[in-house]
Order: sequence, then structure tokens, then C-alpha cells
Amino acid sequence: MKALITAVIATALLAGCGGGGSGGDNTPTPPAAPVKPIVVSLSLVDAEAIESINQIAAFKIDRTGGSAAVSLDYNFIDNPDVTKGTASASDYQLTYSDGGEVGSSFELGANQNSRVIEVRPIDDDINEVPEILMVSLVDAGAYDLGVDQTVTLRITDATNDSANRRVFLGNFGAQTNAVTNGSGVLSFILQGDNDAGLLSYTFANLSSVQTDQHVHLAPSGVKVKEIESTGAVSNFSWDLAPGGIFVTEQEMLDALFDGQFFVNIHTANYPGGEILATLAYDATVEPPEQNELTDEQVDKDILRFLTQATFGPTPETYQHLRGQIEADGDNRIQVYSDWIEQQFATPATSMMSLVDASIPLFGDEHKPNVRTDSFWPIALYGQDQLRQRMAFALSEILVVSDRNSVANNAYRGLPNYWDMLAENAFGTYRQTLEDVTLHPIMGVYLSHLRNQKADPETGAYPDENFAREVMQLFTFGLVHRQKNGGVILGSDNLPLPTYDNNVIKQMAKVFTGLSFSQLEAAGASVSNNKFKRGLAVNDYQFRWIAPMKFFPDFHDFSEKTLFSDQGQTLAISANSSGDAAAAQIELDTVLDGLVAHSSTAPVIARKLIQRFVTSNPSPEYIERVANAFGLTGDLKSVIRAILLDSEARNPGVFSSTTFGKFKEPVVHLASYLRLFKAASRIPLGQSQSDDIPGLNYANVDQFDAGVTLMRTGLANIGQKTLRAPSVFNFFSPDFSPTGAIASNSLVSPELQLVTESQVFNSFNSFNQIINERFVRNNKFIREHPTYSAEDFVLRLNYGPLMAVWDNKVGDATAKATAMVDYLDLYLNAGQLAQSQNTGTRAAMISNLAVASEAERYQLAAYAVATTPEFLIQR
Amino acid sequence: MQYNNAISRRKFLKRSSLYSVTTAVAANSVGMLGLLNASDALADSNDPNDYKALVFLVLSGGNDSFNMIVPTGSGTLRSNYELGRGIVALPEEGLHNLNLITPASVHEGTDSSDFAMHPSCSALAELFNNRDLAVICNAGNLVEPTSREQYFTETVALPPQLFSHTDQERQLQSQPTNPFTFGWGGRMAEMLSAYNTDTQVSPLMSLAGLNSFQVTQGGLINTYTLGNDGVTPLYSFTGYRRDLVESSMQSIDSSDHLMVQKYTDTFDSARLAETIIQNAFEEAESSGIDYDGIFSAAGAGDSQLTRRLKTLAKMIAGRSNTSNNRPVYFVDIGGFDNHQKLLPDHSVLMADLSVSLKGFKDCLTAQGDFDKVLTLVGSEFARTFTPNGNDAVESGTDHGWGGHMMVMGEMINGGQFYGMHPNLALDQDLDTGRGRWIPTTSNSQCAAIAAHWMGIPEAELSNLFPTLDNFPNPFDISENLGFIADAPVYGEQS
Repeated sequence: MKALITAVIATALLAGCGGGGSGGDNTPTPPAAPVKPIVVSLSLVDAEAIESINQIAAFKIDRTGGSAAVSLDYNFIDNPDVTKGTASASDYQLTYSDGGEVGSSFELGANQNSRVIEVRPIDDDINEVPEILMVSLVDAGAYDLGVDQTVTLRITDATNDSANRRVFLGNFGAQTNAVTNGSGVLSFILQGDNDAGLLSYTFANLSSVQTDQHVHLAPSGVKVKEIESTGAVSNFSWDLAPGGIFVTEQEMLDALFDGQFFVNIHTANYPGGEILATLAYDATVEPPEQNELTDEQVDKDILRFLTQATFGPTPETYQHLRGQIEADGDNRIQVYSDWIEQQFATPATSMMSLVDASIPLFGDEHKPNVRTDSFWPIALYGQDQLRQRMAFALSEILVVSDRNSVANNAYRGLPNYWDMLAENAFGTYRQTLEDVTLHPIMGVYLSHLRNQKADPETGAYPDENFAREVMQLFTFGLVHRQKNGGVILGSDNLPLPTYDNNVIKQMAKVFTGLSFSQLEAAGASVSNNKFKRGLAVNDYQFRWIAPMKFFPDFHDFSEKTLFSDQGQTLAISANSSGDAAAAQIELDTVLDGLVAHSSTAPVIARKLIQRFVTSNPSPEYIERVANAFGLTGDLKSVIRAILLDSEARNPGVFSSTTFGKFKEPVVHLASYLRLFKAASRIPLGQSQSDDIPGLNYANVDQFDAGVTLMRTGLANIGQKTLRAPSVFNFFSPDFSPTGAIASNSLVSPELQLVTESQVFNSFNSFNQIINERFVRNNKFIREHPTYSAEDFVLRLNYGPLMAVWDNKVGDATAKATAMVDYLDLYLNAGQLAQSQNTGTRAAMISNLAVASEAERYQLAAYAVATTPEFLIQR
Repeated sequence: MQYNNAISRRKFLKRSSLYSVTTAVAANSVGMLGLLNASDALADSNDPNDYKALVFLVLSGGNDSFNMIVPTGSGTLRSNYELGRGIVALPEEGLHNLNLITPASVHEGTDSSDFAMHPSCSALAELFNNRDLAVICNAGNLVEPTSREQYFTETVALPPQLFSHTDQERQLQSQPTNPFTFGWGGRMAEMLSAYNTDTQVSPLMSLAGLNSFQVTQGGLINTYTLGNDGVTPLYSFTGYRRDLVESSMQSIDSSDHLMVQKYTDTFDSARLAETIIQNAFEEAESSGIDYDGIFSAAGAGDSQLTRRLKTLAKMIAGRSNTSNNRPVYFVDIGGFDNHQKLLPDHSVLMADLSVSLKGFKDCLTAQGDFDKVLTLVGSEFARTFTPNGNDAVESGTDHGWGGHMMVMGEMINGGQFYGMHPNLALDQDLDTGRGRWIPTTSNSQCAAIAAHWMGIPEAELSNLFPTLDNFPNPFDISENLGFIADAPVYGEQS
């Protein structure tokens, strides 16, 4: 440790044998040959010195030219980052590796062309942040300096091994003047080199809703660290960067060991803080073990990964990744990354194509039924699993819904919208938003199809619907946000709105003049030239599957002052002679601005994380994904960042009571049907038997083996793809159910669907599926000319489950245990087996052990559909 | 203050006394012992006559209420109406005339009695003319009284995110402030806990899923959601299945994931309430009242709103199965976001609303409950007065602000307009642009009067509606909000 101002070790010593080769002896030198100048340089040998294990750092002096002994001047340079530590003379000793202490200059003997200098750390009891030692040669005239004249070494107290971590503990109690029963516990685990640590705490019983939480300095109460989430914190990485009154990390570390830091929780009742806990060093506490993942942890992580990235793990997908990890030397992240790349390259299955292939079989049946059912073969058997999960996620942000009767009737247009999202799943959000904006299904859903410029004569104004939602829901949202999703406050201390109603009025003008580009004529797709073309839905629907185009006569080319970001306001100048291309350029400019807006990346990042991994991502996680999003919304980078993030892959979340999410009903049902290989008897491809013809679908090779035609009808599970109640989706990203979730300032969007009546409906739907009644009950199915009604029924395949039972050696309890563990592993990433609470597992085992063979597998299927632990993912 | 201790919560549940616990806890958290002592003294859960229910019906999406209540005649209001609405103006022919007992006040205009209802609302007009229904004009979310000048000079606190559906709907159901902490229905139920003593069934029931309106402050009373047709039983829930699932649910404790705990709570709530609610329905259906027949006679078919209100009427009829005497119900009907096809689509919605409310009223009357059930009908905002297109069939209107509420019940001083009707002049007076009228009555003022009727003393209303004190006392005659006949409020000195 040393003071901020470093005294330069000045060496005025000029050796008598100065440069230029004018030797001090009397030997005559040949005058003709020019003397090669001496050039000296420094290089690193080992940069790290560590006190606790006496690890020595070293650097080397090299010279070229000359052979006489030479003294080299040197000095030390302060850490250019003034917040970080600089080593002082009390921290180390410099010695030559060939013996002897280093003095005020570096000495090279005659004919000595290099010499190693060791930096030996002095093991003191002082707690120090990592310090650097920058050594630089000084030009003293007798030699020249080479390119490398400075080395930087680092001296730390201890390695970052688990055993060197130190533990600070605290208990939450009432802050001065607060009347509260609030309590909780806290730990801060400082890593060995004192550079950073992990903060964790939980608390409960606040008197009112939490509003904020910070680290403060006692006794003044100065804030030193903002903790941008609310609620309990688990392994929050705190880098001890200077805050409050402090300017250096060392000051922070000193304050930490002095017990001057406390965390407090601010609430509505106590804006200044209701409870606090001081971080007190406790040398008696053993730091927790930090091990490499065990095989079992890797297994569970594979299943968590597949739960996040697909419509449900299967033994086949698990085995595939497990085999890769074993082959690739346990680098699971690399294996996941490779799998993601393969998914990028897997072509999209097409919902519209599947609908087109299925419809001819069903005569006069209401065709939207066929469209609705076509989701299931794709989700359950499509090989483009990640793409389809992304399409589903995007469909919950860029929402259209078949509750709009025109969209519903457009049984080709709506799946074409889905296919458009799937095609864009690994492109850019910018392009996705453009394709969404121009898709006629979105046009009819948010009513900018055939929306025209203001008409002063009739007093009509442009429709504001799409203009509003494209800002509020599809991009940056209502208020300005930091990269990590945190709200930005305006000068009035209120969240800074991103737009007002004037902006909406101006934005509405951008989305005028759009109408169908195509229409149907005698079964062919021809160009549409009429702005006010009707919303007819016929067998071809060419108008519903081609992007809308601009009709310049109906587009408002007047000046537009739009939204602002970071001091810049997007403005579009008036264009008196605008054509369709000019309107498109204007649209491009606006869409560029919407997606590049600094609030869009964190907003969309959070929404996507919530669809795949967890309802309550940390601000840091949001920021990392937002960085991957960039200015155009690179969706490949985004999905990689979401799935491979350390927060998503942390095996420690198994015991968390908050990490993860309630499974979406559609994904929950899909994962269930995938594991049970649910199928009808009608192959999507070629016939597998003499008596049941197949559909001979041309693209069947895009699906896994065993894919069948599915005519399931609607399961009453509370959610149906492309059928949200409104553009606000099935649930709000901010929904927080009353009780412990809300009081911990957490959200759980999917729980908005979980009501008393819905819980019973879902139980009954799974009962129906298990009873083999997951099939449309209409005359087109019952009286089908080719297939019997039984052929259409979706059945669960209990074969693998039976094999687990039969193959397990032991009594019924052992067999039941094996079966429960199998289901737990694939449907639940083994959470049940790992939970402290053994209740559900025990209840499953005991009941399955005694159930009759006829009832056993259905009972298992019912249990995994309804028991609580199977309904969340961590 | 024990709000959300998950451990004690689940243990209490297992003792199956969820709502009695709630009462005790809420009493502490309310911190208004005066109120509760008074209530305790007077509330008698065995007295079947001491029963009042509030039904909040939300027209979701933004009802174009200026085509629900339409000016007629030859005055300025009608000419302003025709000028502003243009192609979406409803012709006088076909409207159903309203016979106002006293003329409506008009903001910066002349009092007028010339109003009628939408052509699809003959039943509502009949209710109004029978004095069972009243209209509260130009109400909306407001933080404080707001003038046009203040609005444009930004010298007034405005509700956050005006014109945004989700925000304005939440504010209608709570307060026009951030952050959201409770809905006024949920908080009101907490404050009235002494009247709601049932330990198994929540006094907060929703026929429209979870919502902001019924979110409590303490978080211990949860909304019970009914299906459109009441309670669906669990099928095949017997034997090993039942044993397995119930054992599993009962094992869940505070060591489990919070979302697992919440799911389990919802299941427990459903199971606890299932039998009682089924009994309530059986009682209603065996009462001799022909619910289907009454709704059919009112002209109602099988719409979601009709089914919901029918279920609600039965729930109220069978109330002797619970000891909740101040239940708070939530119902909604969607589809009002008519950016397109306003005239045809709004007409269908108006017809549904009209016949469903009529059927509901007739059932309540048959049950003898029409004097005990106050129905409040509101929407997150009305719509722009001016249309967004030139085609009378295809065009619609966009998000607005102030609009008309309606109240129904025998306790209502019906057949009248309350508050102040806008003069409908564009670009002046109350217009913030395109006929987005600045409300002249705060939603909270209207809701406060309903809450007072339910039993919240005047002095406590600002605990329920924190912005209420920014406005003149809604009970002052100058506010013209006396839509409920004077009723004694328990525990209040008069």
C-alpha cells in the first residue's frame, strides 16, 4: 500500500562508463566502426505476486548492443486508475534472480545481456486490494530505451480459491425510528484478492412495500452502492468500486473491514430506510465450498437448458448434449453454444404450409380450426425447437390475436404471421419490426391497414392505435430506461416519459397510406391498386400473406416531430412530392430510431429473458442481454446471451425460492406431450401401416420421427397461441401477485393466469388428455371419410415409463421411486429429488407404489401435470 | 405488523382459518381502531338484512360513451355533437329518449334535458326512466382539478401515462398515482373486514380473472375468481389422485419457491370455496327464480357478460352460505377499443351491455336484492370525439379521457345526470385535442360515494383514495354527485 502520490525514485547516478562506447580504459578503439548503441527493454516473466502463498512475480531486463556493465535508471509509475491500488515499498522486495537485492538502479554486468528481477511479496496482515507495480526504465543518456520499457505486475493478498474467501455477516433490524417487525439475514463473501465479493440477503415482514435498497456508510448514512433490484438478493456481485465519499477501492475495503457498511431497505412507510444490516467480518465462519460441477449437476443443467431453449427436454435431446459434453471435455457452455449454432442453421418449419397440407382433408370444416391445431405438431416434433420457442416469445411481444374475427378467419394469413416471426427469429429485431408493421394481419389487428392521412373537411384524423403500441409495447415502452432496465428519472424526480400524446399524433401520420399490396384474381395473386380494398378472406388469401405497401396519396407527408432519445429528437421533414418509396424511407428511418432507442434494448431484453429463463432477471443480466441486442436487435446474439449467461446457467439456483418462472401453460403442456410422445394414429408423412394412410406431407423431414396429424381442439389450460385477450398479451411482464411475491418486489407474469377457476380447468384438461379425449369433437372428425374418430385421438405413450418400472430391480417402492425420478428429471430438471421438501416426492412414490398397473401410469401423468413443483422452472 | 410471513401464512391455512386470520391482521394493519370498533359493534353477520354488495363493471378498452349518451334537440350541444363527431355521429332517429328529472349541468354551457341513449340501449333507457339508473357525466382519472390552460402549460399534476390502456385501467381501479399499491375494491374489503367474517370464501370475487381493483394492501385477502358459469368441479379427483395431489399441496411450505407457494394457495382457496359456492348456486337455483327465463325476457342471449352477471346474481342469491356481508365483485366486458368500425361494433357491445344489465336488474329484483346491490359501470377512458377516418362504417375513434359512468340500484337517485356534461366544443374549454375531454369529476370522487355507501366513514375515505383530498368534498352539494339516497353509515356521528 502506498500513498496516492508516488515519489519517483530519482537516480542521478551517471555511471562513469557512459554511453557512446568511450571506455574508461586506455585501449585504443578502432575509429571506423560505429559503436552499436545499447538498447534496453523490460518484459514480464510472471505478473502475479501473491502474499499468502509467497508466489513471486518477475520481470526481465534485456539489452542489445554493448557489452560493458551498465546501470539503468528506473522509476515506479502510479496506477493510472486512481481508484485502484498501487504497491509501495512495504509491499514487496525486489531481488535479482541470480542473487542480491536491487538497489536504486538496475545493474547489468559486463557481457550480461539479460537479468531477471523478482518481486517478492511481503506477507503482512493488512487487508489490501490488488495493487499494481508498474516499473519503467528511465532514459539516462548512456543507453537507449527499447519499445518495451514498462512492465506491470500485480500484488494481491491471496488467491481467489474458495478457502481464502472471507465472510461478512449481518442481521436486519429496525432502523432508527422505524417501528417494524422486519428482519432478515445478510452475507457478503469477499474473494481472496479482495477485489470483489458476492452479496446475498433476504428479509421479510416489512411494514409496507419496499421502494429501494442500498449499501450505505455508517454513521453518516452516505450511500455508497445502489442495488438496483428490489427484494432478496442472491450472489449479487459487488466490485467495491468507490462510492459515496470514497475515491479508492482501498478506502472501501478499509471501511468494509471496519464495519462501516450497512445495507438498508427503504419502504413506502420509511423512505429513509426501515431495516438495516451491518456487514461485520466474522473470521470464524468457514467460506462455502466452490466446486466444479459434479456429473449430476451437469445433467440437471442440461435439462434446465433444454427446458429453457426447447418445448421440453426428451431423453434423446438430453443424450445428445450429454454425449457432446463428454466428448468435448466437460465444456458444457461450448456444447450449448454449438447446439444453438445448429439451431440457427435449422430451417424453419412452416405453419402455413402445414395448414395448407391439412385443410383438404377436412372438407367444409371451419378452416381456422385446422390452423389452431397445427401448432402442436410443430411444437412437439419440429426440429427447429429454439426457433419456434423464439417465434412464440416474439408472438407474445408483437401480439396479434385470433380474437379479432378477421385475423381468425384469415387461416393462411395468421400462420403466415407466425412463420414470419419464425423466419426472423435469428435475424434482427429491426427487420422483425418492419415485417410486423407491414404484415396485413397486424394491419387489421392494430388498425393501421387502410389508415389515411387527416382529412380537414370531415375532421378525420389518422388512427393512433399502432402508433401508440409500437412505442409502448413493441419497443421502448412508457419511460426512459438505463441499459440495465432501471428507470431514468426526470428533473421532477418522476420517471421520464418517452413520449406524450403529441408524439402519438405525429407517429400516427407515419403509419398512414398502408394497404394490401396483392389480391386474388381467379386464383392468382395480382397487384392491388385500390387503397380501400375490402377485408375479404377467401381460399387463397393472397392479400393476407403479402406485406402491405404504401399508397402515397393517402400517406401524410407533412413534417413530423417524433420521440426523443438522449437529447436527440427524431424529426421527419415535409415532403411535398413524396412517392411510395419516400414513404418507405420515412418508415425505415422511424423503425431504425425505434429499435436503436436506448430504452428499447433493455425493455426487449427483459421481456425475452422472462419468456425463456426467469421472471426477475438481475439488472446486470438485463444489461448483458441489452448489450447483445445492440442498435438493431441482433437476435442471434440476444438468444445466446440469454441462454448462456452465468445467471441462466448458475447451478446454485436450485435452492432459490425466487429464481426462475412459473411455466407458461402452452410450454408446460408441450413439454408434457413431448416427453410422453403424444401422437394420433395418422402419420404426417407416409403411411406406417396398411390401413391408415399418411398425410404424405412434403416437409415431413423437418420433423422428428413419429410426427402425426393432430386435431386436438383447444385445451382449457388458460393460454392458446395467437389468442391473447389483447395486444397486452396473456399477462403483463410486471404482474405481481399479492402476498410474498409482491412484498419482495418480484413479478410473476404467468401467475396472472392462475386463478381458482383456471386451476380447476387445467386439472380437468389434463384429465381429458389422460382419458384420451384430446381431440376435436365435431362431425368432420367423427364422420371422416378416411379415418375413424379414434385415429385422431391424441394418446400418451407410456412405453418408456413402463420400461423404467419393469427394468428397476426391487420392490414396488423402488420401482415407483425410479419412475418418479425419471419424470422429475425430464419434466422438472430433477428439482424434486434435490428439494429439501420431500413431500411431493414421497406422496408420488407412496401412491404409485400401491396403484394398480392399470392406474399407475395415468396416475403418474396426472401427478406431474398438477403438483406444484412441476409447474415452475428454475 | 405481520403482512406476508410465508411461514405463518401456510400454517394458518392448514388450520383453515384464512379469512379470520385476515380480519385480525387487517385490523392491525388498518390502524383505525375507531372504525373497526364501531363496525364490530354494529356488524352482525347473522343479520341477513345487513348485507350490501358492490359490483364494479368495467367496459374494457375505452368505451365511446359520447355515443352511449347522446345530445338531442336543437341546442348547441347537439350541433357541437354533430360537428365534432362527423361521420360517427348518431342520428336522432332511433335513439331512446331519456326523461331527466332535473336538467343536466353543462360545463360552460346551458343546462339541458335533451339527451337520449344509443339505439341499442332501449333497456338501459327504460332503467333510467324508471329511476333505477343514473349517469355521472365526464368522469375520469384526475390527480387534481385540471383546467385546459393548466394542461397545456403543464402546471398541473396529471395522471401518469394518460391515454394508455393498462395504466388508465389500473388507475380507474386504484388511484391515478404511481407506484400501484392496492386497488380500491381490495383495500375497501380490508377496511370492512369486520363485516366479512367467512373463513373459507373471500369477500373479493372476480368474474374476470385477476385484476388491479381487488388487490389488497396487506396481501392476505386474495381475489377468488369464478368461471363465467360459476364453479367447475374437479373431474376424476378421487382415490390415489386426490390423495397424491392433496398430500403434495399440503407439503408445500416456506422453503419452497414463492411461485409454488402462490399456486398452492390458489388451489387451497379453490378447494375451500368449492363446496360453499356450489351450495350457494344450488340454493339460488332451487329458489324458484327462473334465471335463464328472466335474462331471455330481457333480450339477453349467451354472451360472456350475460353469463357472468347471471352467475353473479345467483352468487348473491345464495349468500346465506357465506358470512361475507360486504362482498366486492368485479366483472368486465372487453372489445371497446374501437379504433375501427366504431358504429357497427359499438352497437353490438351497447346491446350486450343493455340487455345484460336489464337481466341482472330483473333477477336482483326477483330475489329482493336490488336495494342491496350497487352496480357501478366505468371504463378506463372515453374516446376521441373526432373520428379517425372518412368511412362511416370502417372508421373508429382513438383513446380519450373523460367519459360517462353509470350507477344502478334501488338506492340510486336515478333518472338524473350527475357531475357536469361537457359542452362538446372542440379546441376550447375542456378539449385537450380531438375532443379528449378533461374530466370534470374524478373517478375517485364517484368511487368514494360508492365506498361510503358500503360502510367506509367519510373521514376514512382519503385512506382509500389518497388523491381525494385534492378535490372538493364529493358530498358537497356543489359537486352534484348525490346519486345515492342518504343512508346512515355505521360508526359515524351525524
